[in-house]
Amino acid sequence: MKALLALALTLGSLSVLAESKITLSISLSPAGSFQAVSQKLKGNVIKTGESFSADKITVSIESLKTGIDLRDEHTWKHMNSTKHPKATLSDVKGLNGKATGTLEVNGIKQPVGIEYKIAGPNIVAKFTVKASEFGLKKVEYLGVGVSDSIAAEAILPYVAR
Amino acid sequence: MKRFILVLAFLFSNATWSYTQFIGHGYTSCLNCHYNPSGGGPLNDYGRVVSATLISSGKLYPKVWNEEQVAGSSGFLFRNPTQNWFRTQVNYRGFQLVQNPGSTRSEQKRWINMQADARAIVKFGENDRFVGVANFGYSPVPENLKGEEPEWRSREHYLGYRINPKVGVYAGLMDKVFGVKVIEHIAFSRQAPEVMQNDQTHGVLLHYLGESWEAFGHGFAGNLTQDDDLRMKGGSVMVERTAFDVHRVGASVMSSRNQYQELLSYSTHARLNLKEGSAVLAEVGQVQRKTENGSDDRTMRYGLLQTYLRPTRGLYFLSNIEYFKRNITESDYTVRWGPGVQLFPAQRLELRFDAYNTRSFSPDTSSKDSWMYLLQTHIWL
Repeated sequence: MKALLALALTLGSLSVLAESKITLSISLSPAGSFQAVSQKLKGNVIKTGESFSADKITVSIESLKTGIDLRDEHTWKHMNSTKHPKATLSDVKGLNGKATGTLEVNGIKQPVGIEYKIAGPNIVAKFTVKASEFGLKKVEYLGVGVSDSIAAEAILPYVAR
Repeated sequence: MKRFILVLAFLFSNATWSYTQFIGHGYTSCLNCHYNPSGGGPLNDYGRVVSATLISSGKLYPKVWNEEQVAGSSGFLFRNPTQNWFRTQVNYRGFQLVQNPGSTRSEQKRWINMQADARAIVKFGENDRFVGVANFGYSPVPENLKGEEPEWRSREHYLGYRINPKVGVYAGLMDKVFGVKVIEHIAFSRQAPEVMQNDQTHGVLLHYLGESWEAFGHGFAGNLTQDDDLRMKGGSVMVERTAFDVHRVGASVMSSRNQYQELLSYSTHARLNLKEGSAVLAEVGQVQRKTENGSDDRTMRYGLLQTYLRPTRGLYFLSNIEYFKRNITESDYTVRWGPGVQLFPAQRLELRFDAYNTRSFSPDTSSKDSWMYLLQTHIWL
């Protein structure tokens, strides 16, 4: 019974471990969706009192995986990964679940509004962007297209000061 | 016994082969990969690339090939089409059917050629706005229907037009739209409402594809190659809604009749995306049957639960559980279950193993379980 309890506690604790991950949810036309996921989200989030701040949170474009190797290659190429290998979120300031920041993709910077919540040692931030605002052209491959609107969810551990 | 095997073969065969479990790869609608929005039949160019780069294992391709080259070889006869308006496809499927395996008295083995189809597609306009599909092929005919049904037949022939990206209209010979179009036409969920291998019908199909809804309305006049008294005429409606972005739940209703019987079928279903290619398919439904002289009036009930688990690219582990009650006012019912393995070693090749255990439950009689397994080979060019 003790072993079982220990196992249950161990499994339970896994859900509150610190992790770094970004998930992009992308709709397909005519229908369907896929996710581009990277576990290589880097950066520091600082909690000061009730407010949060972060600067230079980065992810390598070529660390994004979509579940199809060919689609990975198309995604990286589409996002100009050779010329602009990273997406960067800078100057993030947040309070009471809402934050603002500047996102740079494909060498173009745009302000973004972010909603966040605390989950154990992590902060879970969500925001939506339009690919066209970052100079990314409309995507279509053999009749199947990709939506302009992309929802992102970033999970990063934070440090309290 | 020979006759029984042929009947089984008839049940196992499948006209247009749809793989609804690929919702596990994020494809909620069949229209991404098929010309027919309800699935099955010829793959479109995107579907062929998905088949090559996602569904099939890449292990047998030359190591120097990248995924772009794999995709580029997914066309007919390994070629990349040089024009946009015409496509051809060839399909072969056969299997070894083994009944009562291991029994010294009653084991039966037989290789059956199930399908040999030639398909031609013409398409024009942006995103294949106009399509014309013809699918002609071989289908084994059970002994009791020899001479009455042709072994070579048109499986599909229809014209389609997308009025806009959301709305399409299709007219011709197609599968009836009803429930989850699982690959096993032996499934009770396909047998009871009569949406099996040779149940295609001439009709008009309206298709709506919204952001979170997909709907089909199918009016049909029966298969016009059949005698008029046999043609099942009627209509069906199927609606699906996307749930939690990646799953689908839906419901279907179909009414059809000929001179000898009238069927009212209704079902609800779910297609759940377990991610990474794994999926669950479920359907429950009933079929009310009224016969001309009232001698076989009854309501049938069925349930289906299929699980597909994908440990790695090209490999799927299956489990199948089915329930069937021939008459809901009686106590007898049947349960069929079994595991399976589906392997796509390379694009154009599918190898599949399915085992089935069938057990009938009755308060009055007892019967022995029956076992059988299938070893399928599917090749497409």
